[in-house]
Amino acid sequence: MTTPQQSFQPLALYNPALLPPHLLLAEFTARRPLLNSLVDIIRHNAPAKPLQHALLVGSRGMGKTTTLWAVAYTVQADPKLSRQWLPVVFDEESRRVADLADFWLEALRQWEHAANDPDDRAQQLLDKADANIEDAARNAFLEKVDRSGRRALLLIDNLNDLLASIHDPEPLHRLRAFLMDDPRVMVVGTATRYFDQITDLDQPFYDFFRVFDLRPLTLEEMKTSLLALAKARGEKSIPKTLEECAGTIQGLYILTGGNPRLIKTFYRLLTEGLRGDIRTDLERLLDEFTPYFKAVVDALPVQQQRIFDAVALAWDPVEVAAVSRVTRLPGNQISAQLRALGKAGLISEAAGHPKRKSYLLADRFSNIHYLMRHGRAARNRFDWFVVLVRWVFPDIQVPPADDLSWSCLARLLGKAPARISEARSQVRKALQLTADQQWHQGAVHELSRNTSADWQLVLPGLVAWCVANPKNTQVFDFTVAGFLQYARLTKPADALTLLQTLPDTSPFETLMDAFRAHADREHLNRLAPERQAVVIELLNRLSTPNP
Amino acid sequence: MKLRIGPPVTGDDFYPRPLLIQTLTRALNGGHVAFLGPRRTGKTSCLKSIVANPPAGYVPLLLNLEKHHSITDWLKEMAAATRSALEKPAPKLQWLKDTGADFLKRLEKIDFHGVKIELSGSKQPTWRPAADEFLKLLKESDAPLLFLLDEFPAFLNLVVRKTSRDEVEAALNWFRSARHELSDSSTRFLVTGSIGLKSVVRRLGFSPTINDFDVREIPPLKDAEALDLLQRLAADNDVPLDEPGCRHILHLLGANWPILLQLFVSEIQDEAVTKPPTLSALDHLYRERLVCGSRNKYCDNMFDRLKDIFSESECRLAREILRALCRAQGPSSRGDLEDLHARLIPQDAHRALLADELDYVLDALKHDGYLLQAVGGEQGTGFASHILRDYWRRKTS
Repeated sequence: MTTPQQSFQPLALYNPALLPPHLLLAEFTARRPLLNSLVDIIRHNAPAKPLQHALLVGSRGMGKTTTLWAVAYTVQADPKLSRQWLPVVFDEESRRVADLADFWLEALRQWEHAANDPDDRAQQLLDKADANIEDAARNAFLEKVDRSGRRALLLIDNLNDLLASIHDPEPLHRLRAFLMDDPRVMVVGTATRYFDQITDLDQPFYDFFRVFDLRPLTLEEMKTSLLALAKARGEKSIPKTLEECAGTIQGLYILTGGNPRLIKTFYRLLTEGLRGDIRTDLERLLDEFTPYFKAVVDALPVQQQRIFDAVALAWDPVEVAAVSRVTRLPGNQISAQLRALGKAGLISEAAGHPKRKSYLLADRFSNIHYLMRHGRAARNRFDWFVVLVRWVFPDIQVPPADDLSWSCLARLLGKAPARISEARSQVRKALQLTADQQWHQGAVHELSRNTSADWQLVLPGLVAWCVANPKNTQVFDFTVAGFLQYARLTKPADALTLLQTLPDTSPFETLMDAFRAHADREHLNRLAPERQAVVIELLNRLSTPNP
Repeated sequence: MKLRIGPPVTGDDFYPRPLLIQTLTRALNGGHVAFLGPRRTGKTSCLKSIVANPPAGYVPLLLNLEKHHSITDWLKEMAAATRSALEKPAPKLQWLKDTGADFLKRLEKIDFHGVKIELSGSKQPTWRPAADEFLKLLKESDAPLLFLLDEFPAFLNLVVRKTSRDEVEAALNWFRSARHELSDSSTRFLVTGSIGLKSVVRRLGFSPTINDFDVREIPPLKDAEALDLLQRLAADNDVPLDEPGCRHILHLLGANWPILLQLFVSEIQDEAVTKPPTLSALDHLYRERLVCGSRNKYCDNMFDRLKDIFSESECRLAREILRALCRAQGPSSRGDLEDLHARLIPQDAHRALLADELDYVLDALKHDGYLLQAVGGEQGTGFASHILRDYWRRKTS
């Protein structure tokens, strides 16, 4: 039963520190294996051995900060670990660190905060203006650590920024030497990407950390998280909704990129009730995040905003030359700005060939947001994609239309072999006249399903009808199914050729990509992850017979 | 044996390398040693193993020099480590009983700040008198001290940045004369580090100052050892991995560096599988996680940094060597590489001017972890791992 206290708990989308420990841990399910691995590392970091330090790498919203808090709360709740370690969580956006002295001062402040120690030692050291404040701060910190009888578990968000802010290699070497030799301090850090300080062979921290990639949640992980959230908050309707709206959930999952930060908004959507229309449900998800996405883009310098815009609207991974064409900026400037956007965790390199680098927005949901909010062409392209997603992932399986009168008649005609050709011709004509009549579709399905020549004749008309009537998605669904069947009867390449002869195929962009990917699997790497997921599903459909 | 990625490993986590340690000990009996090898290949772990099980008759002192940027700090740390080791009651060396107390007394008198014994108007560095005194003490007392100087090349780089090239030259010259003077005594030095000693010293133009070191390189594990390590890691970390899987991992990686084996096992662990992965699942993991996934960033960096560490001509040669080797069917001989150099610089006279270019480039590529030269047989050269080789193939296709 939901208690008033549970139902009023904040969802804490951006600040997991607001959640009470028991609730954060109860809701922390999807990354539980990772949490166990981290706690296992802490447990095995014996005092007499060089410590294993760890780093969590994942783009924004992947649950890095929440994982740090989960580590802290797990250690605090474990009687043995809490006797050995004091978790010290650094502020997420700490801008106080510019050198190693600042780092030790911050460690001192955070230690005092975590230990409820009222002594403001960092301020005292600053007031004293000691010439060697770095040594003084480190020693003061270690003194406090020693006096506590515990060791320090430093949980540092955005460790990449912290290491980057210490420009001089000398203090970085000193910090590495300290962390390698001194078993009193363990670091678990986070970063939005792999960064030079750990991947550059010439940098002190090269390959220093055990790195854990925080990948997007799988669909199953997302469902598990939603169920855990429902259980922790005493909401009983969620399991039923997940079952009944499986298609919508999967569609929304693809469009939100398995981003754990969205789980809670998703949860709210489920408790308020899904509309069954992915586009509308997406709008409701977006509302929550619009101010955040806007703030991220607004904070960028103008030139970076232009490049961000070009990459976001391209949707699929895009090469420097293509961005250059759209923005009319020189390639070298684009490359430099893409690097900067990459460092900020906003843009990432697409998988694929290392020789032809291409880029896409790191946070996939922010890309969807951008497509829905900016530019008519992008919105149109995205809307057709959503229609396809809806078709690929339906909530309720529609039974074959064999109880419809036209298809019954067609079956009767089919029983008279001498008239079959005439009947097929008639239903083709009927479909071309009124493509949106379900019984016409049923008749064609019944009589011409296995005749590639018939599909070849009707499909161009259906495509034109879809372009002219974008609001009516029923014909779109029939056309997609028709093209898949045509591809099965002939070859996917033939279906692609047929589409390529038509003047406007914009609604079928992703379908064409599926036909291309059938011949060249490398083509998948050229697609945005959302489109890639749908193309893979279409490829699966191509290899199974039409129902 | 727990998975340890990053820090040096000790105790049960260290996969024993008795042959290598024996080789180092033997070399140290005869002289001073430069223990070389690419980053993340386990050199520091070997040093820690020597400290834990010192060679008979030696007091090992392990110093991580990367936290220092002055020669004085280095000398002070050598003295402090000596003092702290001799003050420990544990060692029962005869030398300690006979000479230890007197040695400590004399050590206490040396002023490493150089203030008291600095000679005004002298051109020698301020640390030199203390350094000479320390050397004299080591020599006269025949101290069986084994100085294991880790991160020595990084230390030299830091000294150059913070003080001057002259300071490093003076220190290297002093260090060479110290080694020479101590060659008949019991004191020994072993230097190592995560960046190439030869490259650092060559860039500074002081190559002759380290020529006397007995160079020993760290080899990858032998196949049987690597297989054993994989099986132990899997068993001790609850990672399901069968013997065919272990053998396939060795085949995929192509070089038995412990760090790569640990990384592969950690990738399997991160997948949270409950059954031993099939060979095709291991292929997928290798391709998607190690070659094309996150490790790709490391390879990108290896590709890009060539232009930073080499001159234009050296860089061209390095790129050609790597391009040729990533496509070669097996290790390439010295003759193959000389032919390649000759193709780039066809004129003999011109090539003669760059006499040591090929050697230098090969040496740097080896010590920076690009290439590996086989120890036995024809001593052919190939990529240090298939991860980097496969990346290079894709990158240069």
